[in-house]
Amino acid sequence: MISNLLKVDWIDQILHPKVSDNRLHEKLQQARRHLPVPVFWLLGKAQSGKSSIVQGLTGSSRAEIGQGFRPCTRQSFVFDFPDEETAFVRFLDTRGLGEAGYDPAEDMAWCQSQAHLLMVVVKAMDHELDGVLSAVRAIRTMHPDWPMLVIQTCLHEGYPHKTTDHLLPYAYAGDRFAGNCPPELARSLNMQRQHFKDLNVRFAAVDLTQQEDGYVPIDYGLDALWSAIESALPTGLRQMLLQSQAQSDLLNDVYAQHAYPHVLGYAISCGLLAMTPLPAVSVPLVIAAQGKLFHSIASIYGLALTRRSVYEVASAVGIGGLGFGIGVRELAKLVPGWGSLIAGLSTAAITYALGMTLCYYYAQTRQGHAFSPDMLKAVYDEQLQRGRELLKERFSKDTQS
Amino acid sequence: MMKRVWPWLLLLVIGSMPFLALMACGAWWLWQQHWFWIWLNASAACTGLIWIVSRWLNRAKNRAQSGPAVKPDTPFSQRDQAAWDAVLASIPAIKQNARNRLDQIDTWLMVGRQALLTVAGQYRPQAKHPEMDIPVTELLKLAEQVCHDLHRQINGHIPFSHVITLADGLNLQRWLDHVSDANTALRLGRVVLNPMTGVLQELKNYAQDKAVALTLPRLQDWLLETYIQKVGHYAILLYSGRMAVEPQKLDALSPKSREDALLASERQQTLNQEPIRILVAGQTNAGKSTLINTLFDSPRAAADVVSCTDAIMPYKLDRAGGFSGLIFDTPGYGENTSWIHDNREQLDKTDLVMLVCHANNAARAADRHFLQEFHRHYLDQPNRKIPPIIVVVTHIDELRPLREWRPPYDVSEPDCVKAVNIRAAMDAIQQDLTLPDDTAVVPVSLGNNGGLGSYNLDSLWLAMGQQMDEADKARLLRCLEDAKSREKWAVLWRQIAQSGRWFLRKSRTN
Repeated sequence: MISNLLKVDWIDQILHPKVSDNRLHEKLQQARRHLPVPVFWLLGKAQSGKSSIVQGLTGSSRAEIGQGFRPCTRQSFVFDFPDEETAFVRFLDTRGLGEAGYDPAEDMAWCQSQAHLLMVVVKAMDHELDGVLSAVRAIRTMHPDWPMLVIQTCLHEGYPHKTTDHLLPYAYAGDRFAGNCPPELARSLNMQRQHFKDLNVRFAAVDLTQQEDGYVPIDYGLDALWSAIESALPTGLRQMLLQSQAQSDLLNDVYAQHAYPHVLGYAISCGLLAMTPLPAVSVPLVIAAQGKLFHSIASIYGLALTRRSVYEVASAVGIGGLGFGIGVRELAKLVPGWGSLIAGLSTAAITYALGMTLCYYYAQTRQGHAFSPDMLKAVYDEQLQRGRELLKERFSKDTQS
Repeated sequence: MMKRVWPWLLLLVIGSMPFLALMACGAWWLWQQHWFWIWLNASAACTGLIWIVSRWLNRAKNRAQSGPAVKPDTPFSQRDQAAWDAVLASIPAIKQNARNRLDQIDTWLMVGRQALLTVAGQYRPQAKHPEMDIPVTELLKLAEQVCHDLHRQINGHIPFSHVITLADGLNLQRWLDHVSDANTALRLGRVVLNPMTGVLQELKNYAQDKAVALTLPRLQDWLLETYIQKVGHYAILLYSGRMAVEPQKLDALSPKSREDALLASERQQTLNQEPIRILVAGQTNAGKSTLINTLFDSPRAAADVVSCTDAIMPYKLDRAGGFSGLIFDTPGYGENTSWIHDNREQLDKTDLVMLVCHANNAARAADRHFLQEFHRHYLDQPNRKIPPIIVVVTHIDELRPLREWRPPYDVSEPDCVKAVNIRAAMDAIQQDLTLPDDTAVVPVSLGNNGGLGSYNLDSLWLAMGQQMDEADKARLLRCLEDAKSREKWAVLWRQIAQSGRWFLRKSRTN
């Protein structure tokens, strides 16, 4: 009875949120201060391959990236993934670099409060590094402990012929390159690395091309890049992001791929909101965020978010997923230290599972397949487990800085 | 001579035996057919025709050779004509005297002197030594003119004259033998190879030999006559005061003008000595050294993936078709370096700038900065002309589609993706660097390109050619600036020299 009431109340709140958008936004901003969004700070000249890196890491299209960048500081632009509201990773593009006398102070201040990784992007054959180097030195002097990664792009520009293909397996891992590397390219890469020698940086050499460029694979060295990122800034982003490119068998339609980053973003947002130390205060906020997730999934599938669809999902998932869990989580916040983190992670995982289940529901509806509440329940349980795995690192104590 | 010809004649007879037999047979056949008289009449008519024509040729040839060697530019006055007639009249007597001693050089001097005396006597009947009554320079001029004319005449009229040595010339007979020997062999060869035309040719040659009659006495006569006439003619011009000698005109120049003329020619010389200076500038790795190597078509400048040009290096550009000058390879300028400041002097001594831009490098702030500083440098000196700029867009092969390289690409009307991208890169550079619309922007590929070699260098040469005029103007103005400091010294030197002269005059009057 109580659970039924709770369920109806939840469904009502999902369809008609009690919290205004502004308040939700404000609260989310507050919550993010506790667990900042990781910022990948891309420092490099124009057309050195920064957009390609964003594309390679997030799987967004070029157009999305192009439209997604918005100005944040005087000389830089920011790209929130998947969008501004639910961003769980941000990319800062320093467009001022290449202008005479770029001063990184403003960008440094912007990054200060956010977990971040400085990614210095240079073309493999470019040796006009004065501007980049002076900026990196300035940042290093101010922040000796910030992780830095030098990404050497456009490897193909150092290939001896137009017909030369990528070396497979990847030949530029570590400090020593494979013996069959194009010699000019290898020299150039080593020369560049020498410039950064005393700046305590990691290196990755990649060639992120377009399909029509004809190089196979198009994201040469992406694995090495991810390894370098994860070892420099362990946020579990790799798993989260690669997940969107390799969907589960159940949800391999194009809509789910689009919806996935949003699910992830809202899940993390809900987790953050749930971390408010005071019990019960966060509940309406979390439900409001979940409501927004549902609406956005519906719009991605081009279907209306009806009471029936929400009801069917909620029924299948059962009260464990909604009401009872909330109570336990809210109580967990009373445990000092770990409590709010646990609450955050479980809320995030539940939100993730709910979102993915709704995706499944819509996918089946769209394709006209029959499905039973049991099947929905099975999907929910599987995704709940996956969500815990994916978000574990994000809500771990280590990254709380 | 005759002995040697006999065996050849014998051979000729043997060679033409079959044809003679043919002729005999033909004649017999004609006799039998009662056509012999008709044939005889026809051949008589032909022979007559040949004889008449050869006579005519003979006369034409003779006339050509013995025509007047002298054509006076200005009409002769009566006295001139009288002198001229005297010269002509003296020819047979001189010839008679000199004919047998032509192989001695003194004879020619003597003949010339006689001709000169004849004319001098006509103009200065009272003078004791009329031939001594003329300035030395004019006499030399006369000798020079005669030699010059003779040279032209001999060159134009006597075959093989340009290969005859003086010894040959004095022994003309040997030379004639030489010619006729060669001629005999040639003729005989022709008879053997093609008997029918050979025989006809031989007949013709016989007639012509008669006509030309290139015999020793004739040649000697002609040479002597021409010589005397020439000497006579120039002597007339000399004594009648019509021989205007150019250098003497210069003597008439005022000393001031002469000095100025000298100064002008000196300055012209220094201006021409100063080469056009071409500055190749651009960012590191834009391809400056590679561009220079490609222009030279051989490795001159050290070019490498890692920047290796650390000082300005001059190279001498010398290309057939008018491009010559010094071309300077420079270290790449970066965003933060003080390139302009360090190389201001170099910048000042520049007539043409080749700005090398990497097509695939969108960071062009450094280039923009360079151009701004460059213009500022020249705007500060209103008396200097801003040197023209050619923008060389390199690495166009690295534009998308990355793996395609199938030149040529039409950038004025792009018809494929690559061409569109090349054009876009050119436009972007033009826009980023705020270049005027008429700036030459030349896309090139300097790489090996898998054996295809560099691309569009022709256009670059063309652009350079078009800018050469402008560059030349810039060079002249630069030289004038340079010359001014030198001129100060020159003025001082002149003043000193003049005071010296004044001093000299002063002392002389005292």
